[in-house]
Amino acid sequence: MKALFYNFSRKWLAVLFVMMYFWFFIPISMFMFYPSALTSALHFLIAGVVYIFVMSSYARYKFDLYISCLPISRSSFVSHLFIITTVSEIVMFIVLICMSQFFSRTEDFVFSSATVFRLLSSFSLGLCTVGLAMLLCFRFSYTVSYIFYIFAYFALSFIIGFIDGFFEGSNSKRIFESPIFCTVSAVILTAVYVFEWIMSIRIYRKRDL
Amino acid sequence: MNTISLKDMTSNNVNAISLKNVTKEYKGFTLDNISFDLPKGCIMGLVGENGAGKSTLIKIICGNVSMKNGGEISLLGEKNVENFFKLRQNIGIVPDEISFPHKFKVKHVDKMMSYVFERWDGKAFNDYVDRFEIPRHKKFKDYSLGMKKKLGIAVALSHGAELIILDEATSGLDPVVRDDFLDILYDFTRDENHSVLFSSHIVSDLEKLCDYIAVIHKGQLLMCEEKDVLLDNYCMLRCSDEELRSVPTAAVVGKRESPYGVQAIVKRQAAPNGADIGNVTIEDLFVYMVKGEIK
Repeated sequence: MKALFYNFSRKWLAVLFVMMYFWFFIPISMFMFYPSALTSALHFLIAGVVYIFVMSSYARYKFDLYISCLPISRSSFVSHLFIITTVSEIVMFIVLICMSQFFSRTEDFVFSSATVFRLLSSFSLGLCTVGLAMLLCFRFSYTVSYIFYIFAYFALSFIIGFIDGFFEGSNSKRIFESPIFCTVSAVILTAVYVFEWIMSIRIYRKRDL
Repeated sequence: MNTISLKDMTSNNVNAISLKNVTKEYKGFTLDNISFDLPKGCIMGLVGENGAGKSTLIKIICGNVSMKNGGEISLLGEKNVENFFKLRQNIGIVPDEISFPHKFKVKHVDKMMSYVFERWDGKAFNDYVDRFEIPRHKKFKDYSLGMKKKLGIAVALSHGAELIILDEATSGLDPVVRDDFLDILYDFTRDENHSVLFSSHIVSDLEKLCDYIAVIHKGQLLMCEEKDVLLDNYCMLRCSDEELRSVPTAAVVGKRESPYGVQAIVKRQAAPNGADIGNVTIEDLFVYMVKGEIK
């Protein structure tokens, strides 16, 4: 697995450049106007761009086929992509928490736990969706995975936006900022992500290359 | 005087590769019931036309294609396909297409492979890079097809492998490098534990190098035999059509008819006495066997 990360680490500058763009420019502009569950969930989907970046480079080089001729197990291959995705999502989570606290402090100088809970549920939703995209990639192909990813991005935009707006009126608190809802959904979605990880390994092990 | 065959000489050793009734079904193509043994210390050439199933068979042997349609494989004595990836520490595989990230240079391949292989020999790798004249300053994306192949071959030879599996490894190489490469493989198999499975369209390469020849045609193994036995057992018969009819049909591999007579590859024992016969090459044998009757 170290060899796979060696390849990834050589691209760190390009990855950083892509992530800088998504992490800083788009989130800042969105937080300033509307820091909703919708925007934060979409940020976590954007964090999945790292996975797309790595997978598309493998697809272009056909490097995954050459890897299959080396003493690298298929579970290591799958896991290294899931680890890269998880780390990028966690980094996104930390960046967004810092930014959300920064912007809320400029308004009323109090720690906003609601924002943290919202980010937690959005984090796990993003993780789970990107995990499903990877599962589809290992089951079918890169193309199917990308199509699902784009479809999921727009579908989630619509669904979360709808739910978020629907519950907006009750107690001046959106459902995505409810501690119980957020914690339960985060636990469930993270469990789904782990399941997707395991299933991806099982599927890729049986796949003919 | 009794002659000792290669198989007898190596019978005490474990086979490097052993296939029993390996079958793989695809839509419109079946690799059907393939069985053969590659003894340790030997080189086997896999010959077949495009789409015959050579690459599929090599992928099955490497564990990259499942055997859910039946069969057994033993690789360096290991029968559990799940463990084949661990065995790759002892196997050098050169697939038909070598692919590294486009920005990789020789030093990056060296570094990455040092993480992959426990017995990676950087010095040997760099020696092969110099011997094959692979440019060190160029990026992988700027390599020609031949350079890519050479890099893949250098990797396969630099980690103390006991078995080398090559899928069309010499295609794209110029004759000088091909000849050099064949010498390297020949030296490699001087160690009696080292074996090579080598698929190629360039039958002359296989004829120079291989101890065994296996012919695959439309997913079926037509023949797997020692090269010397094949060359001894078959001959090229030049005769009239009537004379050829006197040869049992089962002894005729294939024939070519022309206005001047018939050329046929037949079993040497079945050739009529006094007939005009000559030696065959593996290429003749392959072409006649696959095409059957050539007009």
